[in-house]
Amino acid sequence: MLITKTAHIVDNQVLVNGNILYHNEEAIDYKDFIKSTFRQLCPAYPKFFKMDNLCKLAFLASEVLLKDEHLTEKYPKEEIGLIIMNASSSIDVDKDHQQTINSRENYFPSPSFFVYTLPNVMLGEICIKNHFFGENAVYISEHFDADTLFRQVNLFFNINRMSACITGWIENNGTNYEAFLMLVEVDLKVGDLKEICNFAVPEIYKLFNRQ
Amino acid sequence: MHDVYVSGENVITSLGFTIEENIENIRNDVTGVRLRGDKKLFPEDFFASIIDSQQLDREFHSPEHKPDFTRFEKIMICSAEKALAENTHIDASSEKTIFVISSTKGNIDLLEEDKKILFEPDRVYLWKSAEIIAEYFGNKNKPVVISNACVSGVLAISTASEMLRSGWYNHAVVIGGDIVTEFVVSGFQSFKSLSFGPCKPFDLNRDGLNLGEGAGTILMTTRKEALPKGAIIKVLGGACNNDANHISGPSRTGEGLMLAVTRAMKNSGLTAEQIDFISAHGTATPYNDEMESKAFSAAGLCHVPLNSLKGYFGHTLGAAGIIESAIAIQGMKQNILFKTMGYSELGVTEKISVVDRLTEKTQKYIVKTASGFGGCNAAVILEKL
Amino acid sequence: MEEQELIEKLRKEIIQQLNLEELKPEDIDPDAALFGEGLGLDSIDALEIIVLLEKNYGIKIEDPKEGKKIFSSIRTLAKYIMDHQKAQ
Repeated sequence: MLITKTAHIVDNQVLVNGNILYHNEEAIDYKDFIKSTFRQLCPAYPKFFKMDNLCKLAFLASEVLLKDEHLTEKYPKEEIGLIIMNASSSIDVDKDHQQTINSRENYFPSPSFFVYTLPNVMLGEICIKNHFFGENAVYISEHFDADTLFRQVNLFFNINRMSACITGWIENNGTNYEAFLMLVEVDLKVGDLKEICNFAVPEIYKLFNRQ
Repeated sequence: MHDVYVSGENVITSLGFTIEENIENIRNDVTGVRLRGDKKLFPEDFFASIIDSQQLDREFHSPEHKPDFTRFEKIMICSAEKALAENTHIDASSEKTIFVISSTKGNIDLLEEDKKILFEPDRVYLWKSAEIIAEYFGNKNKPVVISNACVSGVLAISTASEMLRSGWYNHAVVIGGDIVTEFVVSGFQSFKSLSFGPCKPFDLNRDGLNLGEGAGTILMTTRKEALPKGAIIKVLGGACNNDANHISGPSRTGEGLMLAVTRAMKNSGLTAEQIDFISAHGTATPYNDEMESKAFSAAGLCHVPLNSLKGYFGHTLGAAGIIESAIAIQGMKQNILFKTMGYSELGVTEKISVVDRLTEKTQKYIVKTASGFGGCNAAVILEKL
Repeated sequence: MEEQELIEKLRKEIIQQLNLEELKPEDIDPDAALFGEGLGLDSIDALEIIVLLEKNYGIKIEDPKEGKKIFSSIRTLAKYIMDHQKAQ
């Protein structure tokens, strides 16, 4: 398996294959950053603005990663997987939902908060946009754990449950955010020139740590 | 590649703290779904399946030298402890044993104003509860934590089985759990997806789901010699995928679930004709059950008897896949199919075969399915040797 | 409140409640379909409008299916609110 592309969103920057694609220096906070960056880098998609902060982060990272990849032309849609790890689940929007029910006097639970109170919904948003029907899984880990992620993704490849995989770390706890996605492919078709490196734990950590 | 066997189960629900108690109640048409008037959970009365808190306190004591546990952690630990007590071949503390935890919201009730101060802030995170649970059993491996909406349980079983099949570990302790909280009740109410009575899976008059809390444990091993006497159950292939349709509404065609089921069968080397029973998701919402009927029909499984257990313990979210698989395993061992509590008249487009009474049937291969928010679907195949 | 005034208010409230960030109130035609064609709102949006009705107007709708008829356009929604508030 090869890592053929990476996308990294952190510190108000968007990096592709380790190179800065966009640095949003003027954004005043995360909400401002994610929306203005999306408008700058991605084609219009009104549903983006209904997403919670975690899904916006995941979606932006996936759009950047998948730009010009045309994955569903290369692989059957049911063989493109999404395996994501994070620490805080959907805690940011969980707190928003909790706020709507804290007071019986002002008790208005909102379906558009609640629907996002599950970390795998970010996979759903990406699959809907890209028509991916493949393996989906969210693993929870205190820190980015490339050993566990590698083992799980590798396992699914080995038992032929995927031919391509978007995998990585998408974390938002309301204070800090980071998205690191890798495109991992079983083999490249004749004519494909791109590759970064082997899909292996040391390589994953090097890319994640921007070394 | 190793064969993977089920070496024990436990479930904790409103119907009891052992598999035997739960099965006894199911056989006697007893449901744990009741009208609840707990104003802390919701301003109005609602139907749900709640674990008896007093019994939980009797069954689980915080050892004096160990710290307090949350309600969620108690039911998880209690369930695993009971399963392990009956299956002493599995050493929970061994480095060859892995804990796989499945939950949608874990300790989410710790976000409530009056509960925030009871535990440290990190306790609300699933990685923290999972650590505490594994530590309780003296296991030093980092637990694998799966949080994938209502398919978490089925995905946990499938993932654990593949980890064992690949030889990484000899044993797995797969625990799934979720509690009924104000957080979840209010959310499902805002979706208008709660039934006004006990739920009716696949029925013409179904009007929504009941929430339930529960924990389930499935012990797995590659060591055939470690199995208890009696029928042997193997875990075969599985699959999980996305509908790519809508984040909360199931696909109208059922294509995603159909693909998950057909891929699980393919990964197990089976065809539709070989499947003897389907333990379906059957939440009793108008759309879910309709979608499932379409999926099963498209997969060539209309003739296969199926049931939903949601009428007995409600929808236990992250526990559902584990609890319902454990009950289905008992059905395989006892050669019976349990009836779909709440069902009387078929109310879906496809002519699926809903089990409406306790039925004797030998089952060699069964499929357990689940579907959830975010458009996910999962299926796993079990075999009786 | 006059119907036109209520329509103006609803346009702003719908944009805010449903996170329709790329739209301005004047972009919403009061007679255009809210669901299906027109604005293309979905089932979650329908449920959010139910929350909006309760929060801002004190009107409770128990059955979402009933909701879809009332919400066919901003104007039908405005008329429903005015009728219901008269009845109170």
